[in-house]
Amino acid sequence: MSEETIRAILRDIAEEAVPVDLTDKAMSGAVRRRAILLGTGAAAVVALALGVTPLALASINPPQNGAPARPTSASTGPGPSTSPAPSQSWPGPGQSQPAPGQSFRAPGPSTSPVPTAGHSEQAPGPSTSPVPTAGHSEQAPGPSTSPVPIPGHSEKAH
Amino acid sequence: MNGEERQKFREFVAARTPALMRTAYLLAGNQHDAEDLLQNALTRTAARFSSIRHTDPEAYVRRVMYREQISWWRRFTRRRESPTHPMPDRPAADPSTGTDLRVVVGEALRQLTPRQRTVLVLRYFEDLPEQQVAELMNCSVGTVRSQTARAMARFRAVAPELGAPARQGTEVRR
Repeated sequence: MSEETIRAILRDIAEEAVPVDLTDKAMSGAVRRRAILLGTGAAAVVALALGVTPLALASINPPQNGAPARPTSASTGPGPSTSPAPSQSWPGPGQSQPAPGQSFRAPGPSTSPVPTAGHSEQAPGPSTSPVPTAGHSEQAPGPSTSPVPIPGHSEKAH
Repeated sequence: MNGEERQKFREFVAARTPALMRTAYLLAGNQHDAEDLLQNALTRTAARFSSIRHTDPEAYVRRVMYREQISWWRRFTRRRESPTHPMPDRPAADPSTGTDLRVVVGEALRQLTPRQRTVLVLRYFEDLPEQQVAELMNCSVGTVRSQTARAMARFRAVAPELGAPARQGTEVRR
């Protein structure tokens, strides 16, 4: 079968094709294609934003693990933020220590020269008491610690 | 596209549709698939007409048709033309009769794979060199040659009456 024969036959077969006007279909198809591409692109951008945004926020606002925990009233041991009442911090003569499980409440209006913030369960500030605190390693005195225990002073802060 | 580009596109399609349709018909094998193939190519051309109209839009349309014809997606979605049953026995067509010859070759053409058919159309209908055919089909020259040889062998297997014209009086091999 010669190449010239094939060429002639292919030309004959091609003459069977019927030309059809496809202009309108092509142009409307192009518009639809562009709309589909734009919609797909927008959806991809939205999906990417939804996937990336939580990760970005997590990296900007890391979980605050350094903040000291607030002790609860049921805590058995004194936490680092526990502020013992000055009247009961140092068990003086004749005074009993608080029972385990009891929390110390901060005193009311501060009697110390250092003004207090007020709340009983807040983290204690730097000690202002001239009394050595070596015996109470777990209890940091609060800012309202009085250097001299006041017998009969109310324990309630507020 | 603006108004001027639309007008240019209409003129281009009106002028070149007959030639493009013939090529699409040879590639697709029937009128319906040929219209589908050409419409897809023209749709893509229309989307990019503003950027290609100053170069060669017809070459772009043809390239899209050739690539579309052999794309795996098109093969997956369109109806296959491969026969499920062997061809029925029929009297051997008389190659001397042009009509019979065209029918036989047309059937043989439909038996080819899309790649083989595309290679034949590009080589013998478009009369393109092997290098250009390889560029259009995004393959190597060796692939073009091998596909051409396979297409010709399949042609002879499907239509043995299309034997070499130099050999006369020989029996038809079945």
